[in-house]
Amino acid sequence: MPVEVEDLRYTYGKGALAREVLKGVSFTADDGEVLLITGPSGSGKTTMLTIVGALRPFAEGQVSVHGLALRGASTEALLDIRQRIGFVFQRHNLLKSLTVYENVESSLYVLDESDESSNRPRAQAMLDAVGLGDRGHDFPEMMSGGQQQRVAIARALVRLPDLIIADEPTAALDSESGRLVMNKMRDLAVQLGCVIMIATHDERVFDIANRRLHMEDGHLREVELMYKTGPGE
Amino acid sequence: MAVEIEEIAVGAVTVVVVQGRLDGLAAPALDDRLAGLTTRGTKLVLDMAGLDYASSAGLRVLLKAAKQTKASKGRFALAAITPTVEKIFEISGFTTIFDIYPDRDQAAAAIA
Repeated sequence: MPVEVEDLRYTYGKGALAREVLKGVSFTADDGEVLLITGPSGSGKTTMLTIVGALRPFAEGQVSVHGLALRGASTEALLDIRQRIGFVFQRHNLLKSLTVYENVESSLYVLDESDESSNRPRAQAMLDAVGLGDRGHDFPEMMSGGQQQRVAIARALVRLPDLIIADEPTAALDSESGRLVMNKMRDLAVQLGCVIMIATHDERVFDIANRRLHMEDGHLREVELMYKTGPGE
Repeated sequence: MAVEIEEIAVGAVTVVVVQGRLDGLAAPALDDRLAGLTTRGTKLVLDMAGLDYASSAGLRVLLKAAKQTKASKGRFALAAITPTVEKIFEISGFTTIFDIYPDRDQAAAAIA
């Protein structure tokens, strides 16, 4: 399985101030699957995503991403796996001083397989895919919130990741923009065979996923199964 | 079906025939197979007529192979991509950045 999490536990603080936010979380995800992670604020959604994204060290449980066990992995191995993950956050984090093209291409500079001559065509194709093919020379401030979030999706996907992690990607968007952003992200990720994990409170977009995992009090349970799609379908 | 890889010679060109699904599990096998070819100035064609699907991991293998071939003064082309793979290529910009030919003979003739 591309993503395997087993008995993951995580505690903030120590002694009397210790608060265990993940209490033995387990799940797997297959290529092309779209997983929603739901649950109230403070339930551990973001903590879990940052662990699976190799951004947060942890001491208890097992997490592997495409066969690499993250706990105990070398710094080099963690850097390598992070190159295979695309991140989309509530705040799009685009660089204001760079054009849309440059923001998307910035995701490619660190990748071994990237070739400078192919960066612009790759950025153009991904902007086309999110419906912003004619905005490459614009700056982020010239765009709406929904458009900026679509640029962030293009930036995440242009590196051809194995896993997309999105944390509240629609929280700052109106209903129509939120739906458009989520549909674009899902369609592209499924075609490229990525696993996509989305933490969200936004009930308006619950129906885009294959599976919904609900977190509460540090525990995770799978809730209603929606529709099924898969890579190459 | 997992990926199947076969290597044949067409004149001075090496043709690697790839069949099946090039996903995250299969990509390392193609990467290993191409690694020995792309670093020695080979004229290389990937025949993809039997390739049903390519995931992001598979696409990265193609990028790496093209980059290494270019660095070693070789040549690299793709042939006979299927409609499903073409759609994935369009999303990722590969139809622009790769030399793609209708079949392996035309590809081999073009880079020979």
